[in-house]
Amino acid sequence: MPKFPDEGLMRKVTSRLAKLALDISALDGSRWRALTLQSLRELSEEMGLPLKDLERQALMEGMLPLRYIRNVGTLGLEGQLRLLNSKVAVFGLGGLGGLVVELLARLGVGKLVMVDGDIFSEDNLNRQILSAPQYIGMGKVEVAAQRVIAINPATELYPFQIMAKEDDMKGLIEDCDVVVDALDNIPSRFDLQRACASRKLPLVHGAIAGFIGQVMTIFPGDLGIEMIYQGASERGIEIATGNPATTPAMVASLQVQEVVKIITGIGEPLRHRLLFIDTENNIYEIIDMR
Amino acid sequence: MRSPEEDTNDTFEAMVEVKLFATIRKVAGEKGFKTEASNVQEVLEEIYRKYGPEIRSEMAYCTILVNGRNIAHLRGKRTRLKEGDVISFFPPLAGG
Repeated sequence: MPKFPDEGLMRKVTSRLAKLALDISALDGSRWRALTLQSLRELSEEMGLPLKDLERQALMEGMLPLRYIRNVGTLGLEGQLRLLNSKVAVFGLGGLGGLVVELLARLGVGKLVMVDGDIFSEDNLNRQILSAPQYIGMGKVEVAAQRVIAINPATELYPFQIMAKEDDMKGLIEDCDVVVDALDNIPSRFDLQRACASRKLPLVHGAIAGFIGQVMTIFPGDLGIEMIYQGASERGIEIATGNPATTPAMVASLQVQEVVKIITGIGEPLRHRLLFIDTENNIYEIIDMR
Repeated sequence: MRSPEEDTNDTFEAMVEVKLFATIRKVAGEKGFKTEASNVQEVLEEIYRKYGPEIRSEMAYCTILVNGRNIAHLRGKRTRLKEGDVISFFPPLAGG
């Protein structure tokens, strides 16, 4: 719920939003009362209220921030509001996590926890969407924060430049709705699953190697990571295959899709099912893992 | 077409489907095969026989599922197989 200190202020905000809203037609002819980013920014500055709170109040009153008009046909106002009210934690900001935060910010997730202790290096440039030559040596978390603010200034950010262990993870995800596993080693993935289980949070797992990738959504109590990696060492075959750009983009997109499903209730998450992708051999197989 | 009676008679050979994925499939040169192996160890031995020593390094640390369950949660390599079971071999992927 909006954190307005009193109902009078809330009514005032609603009234101002209603006056600023424009009649806009979507491509299918549906009509919307929509608010431009500029008008929301000006109102935010004038009233000293966070942009996110204004967007949320608008959605609750049936008005649409214009930036989401191409979301609404699929997500609806209710889905958009659920995303805005949600908090998602992303562990790892490399090939998977960089694109995951980009897409979550564009979709309109309200709060993003971003965790990675690493800095950008030249060998990231082949695939990591947030990397660029001018960022080499900079913390991935810092660059990700800049990127998210540039994309969607309403997003509340919780950046942590640390190599998180299980106990850190438990603290970082405390009031989240969903957690994304975009990590790059097996022991950390076990840590994250245990942290999520202890907080009773769903975890969206993704992993890549060469032209191969996998995605699975793990709910508290599911064996999940144990079913996939039991008996494995610290790293997988990616140490030999490397990671060209297309696989992380596909797997990250599918992970974000899982997050959207969990938060909005639209569709059915890949629970107890591992989606295995091998683009070299055109395999897109869902394996039951109960 | 077999009749149900034929399917249950003594001469029917139990067939298990072996599925190979990713780099394991690449070295094997095929998607998998059918076998009459009665446990996981026998399937592994058959894989080594069929595909030669090169497959061994691909099989190290691979995930083995019997009907979607990791054999670590069953009886390991002694896990028994029966008619219609599917045994899948995956290499671990952990890149992010």
